[in-house]
Amino acid sequence: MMKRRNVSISLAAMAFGALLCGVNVNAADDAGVTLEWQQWWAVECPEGYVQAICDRYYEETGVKVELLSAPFADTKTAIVSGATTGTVADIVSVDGSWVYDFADQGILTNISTLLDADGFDQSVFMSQWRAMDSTYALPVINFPYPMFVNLDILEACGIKEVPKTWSEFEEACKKITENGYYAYAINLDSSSPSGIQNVWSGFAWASDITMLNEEGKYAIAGNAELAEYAEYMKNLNDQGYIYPGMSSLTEADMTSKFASGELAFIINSAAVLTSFRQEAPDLNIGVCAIPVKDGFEGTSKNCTANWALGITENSENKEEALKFIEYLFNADINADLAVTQSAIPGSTLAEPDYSGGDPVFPDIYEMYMAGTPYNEFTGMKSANEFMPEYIDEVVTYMDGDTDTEEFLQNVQEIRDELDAQ
Amino acid sequence: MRKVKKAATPYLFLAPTIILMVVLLVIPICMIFQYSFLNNAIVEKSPEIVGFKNYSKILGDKDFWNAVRNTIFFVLVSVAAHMGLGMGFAMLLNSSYFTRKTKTIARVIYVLPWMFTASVIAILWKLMLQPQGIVDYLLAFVHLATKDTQWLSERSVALYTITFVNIWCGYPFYMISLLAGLQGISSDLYECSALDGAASGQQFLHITVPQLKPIIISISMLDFVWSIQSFAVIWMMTGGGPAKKTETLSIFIYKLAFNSSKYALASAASVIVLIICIIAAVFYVRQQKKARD
Repeated sequence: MMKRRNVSISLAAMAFGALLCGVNVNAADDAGVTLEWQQWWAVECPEGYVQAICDRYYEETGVKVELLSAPFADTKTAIVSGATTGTVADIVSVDGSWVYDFADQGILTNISTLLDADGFDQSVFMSQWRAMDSTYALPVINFPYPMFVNLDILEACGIKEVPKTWSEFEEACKKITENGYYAYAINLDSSSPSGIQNVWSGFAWASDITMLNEEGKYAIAGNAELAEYAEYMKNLNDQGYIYPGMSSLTEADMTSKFASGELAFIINSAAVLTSFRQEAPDLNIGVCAIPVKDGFEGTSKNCTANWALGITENSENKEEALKFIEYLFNADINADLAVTQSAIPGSTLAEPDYSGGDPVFPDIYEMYMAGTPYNEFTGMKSANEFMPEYIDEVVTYMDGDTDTEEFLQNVQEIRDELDAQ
Repeated sequence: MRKVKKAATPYLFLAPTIILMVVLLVIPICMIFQYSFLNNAIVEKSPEIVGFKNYSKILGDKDFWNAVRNTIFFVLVSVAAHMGLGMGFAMLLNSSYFTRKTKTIARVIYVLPWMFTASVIAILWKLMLQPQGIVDYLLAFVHLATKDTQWLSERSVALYTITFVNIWCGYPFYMISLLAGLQGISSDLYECSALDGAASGQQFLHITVPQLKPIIISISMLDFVWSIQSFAVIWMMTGGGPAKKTETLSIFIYKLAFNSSKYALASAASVIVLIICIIAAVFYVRQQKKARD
């Protein structure tokens, strides 16, 4: 009798539970919206982290966000092929070098129009990625690219202070090389051409040397500052201060050389700190600002990469997609994402607490805030086509097969040709 | 009704294969042909037909001809070296110099490179070939290279290096195929020729090679097509660099499509490669038919 009663109670509880579940499901169905989000974030964040954000959003709004995760290297292809077949996700994570082309090809929708209609306070966005005078993507978090230093190598070579200027850097490289270490590396592998922006150009940007003139036009040929920078780098390479084999060196190769204690200086994303701590816990890492040209007194432009989001033209739920993106700029969520990824928030409301994070990150944060975030490949037309071509010209120049004038002229011609298309 | 059923049965058996071939082969090829005649495909919402403009653009592109030159070197050297090495190892394994046990061990060792996936091969060789890597160390030890030799970054050697890696990972296919062929040649032929006073070189030229001819032609044709299509190892080792020195046709097409989003031009280049492969395939089928007859 007792058993039967227990069974009845259990059944009643199950029925009640099922009813509650039904109510929940109906609530979701009422909202009726499921957004798809193509991204690489879930692959790079701690397991379940991005899903937890989506789950929280679902609980709060009833809008479901389904993650379509792929490594960064596959995301661009996934977006393009999805756009072709009309199956592209509503929200897509994008790289700065894709934005112009995606906007031009009609893959991304114009967010400016949506933002105007939505009435969201746009001062929350630290920056907006624009192409053709409109916003097409919003950077959620920012990754500074400081210079990492192996302090043990510096100490072993008798270098007391991290170099601040080009001449100090050259002097340090000389001492390091004489002591049997490699001083610096530039990753110019053309299959993943990030090195041309983050490392080659990032070093120049620190001294405010850019390809663009004051009018925003590409002034590469005959650019005296770029010429001076190129000659400085070539000299470092000719002296043997730069790790050999730069044209087949990937960012991962460069990172592992640094982690294994072979390299004294590298420019890399702040996000790499986590893997350094895991792979080489004994590595004595310091960070410093990228050395600037002797006599430079302006504000450094800090190379920055970002995790940004755009909304696709194919999406039938653009307003809901924008709401979700805006949700990621919520102070707490944005700050937590930034801390988790050793990044700088993209929301002006966020106040990240790095105290529990990596001990050198506050230095990176300070350096980042002191400079101007910059990346002239973000929003550049045909950036992905330009970068490998630029790499080829740098490699040819560093090998001594072109002189500085010819090198810059060739890069200018490549740029002009792409702009004319 | 029964008659119809009977007549339809073989087609029903064939249907899964035909459907798969249509979906995975015929439709994509037709689409590539179609794209190659448009001003741009995939990223263009309303593409227009431009006739053979993409083909003339591709044929007038110096980077395409650079890729053709690199591909010709890569393919011809790979096929020739695969043949030489494969034949050498197959004859060694077929000889009486090895006992049964050592033959088995040697077979496993020799066939290993073929077992690795492209990513493993690329990572393995990239590590070994890096400046101050194990290859540099060993060659410097015997004074054949310096410890800083840049096998993948030096423009004058990078193409030789990736060709060497392709040879290393491809010869076991030849070895296995030729070994099977060698084992099928009657020993009577060699014994008779020995009685007639034929030297081992003559035996090789007048017995071994003619007997293996159908296999040699078949595997050479297959290798020719595979080498033209070779992508993963080159992409992962050099990405086509330094300064396009290892950019083969497959890399050139990939970059056109996925770096530059010029899908119509990439399609035109793909059609050109497809035509080359079809010529090889026709030659292969004819040889197979001749061998059967």
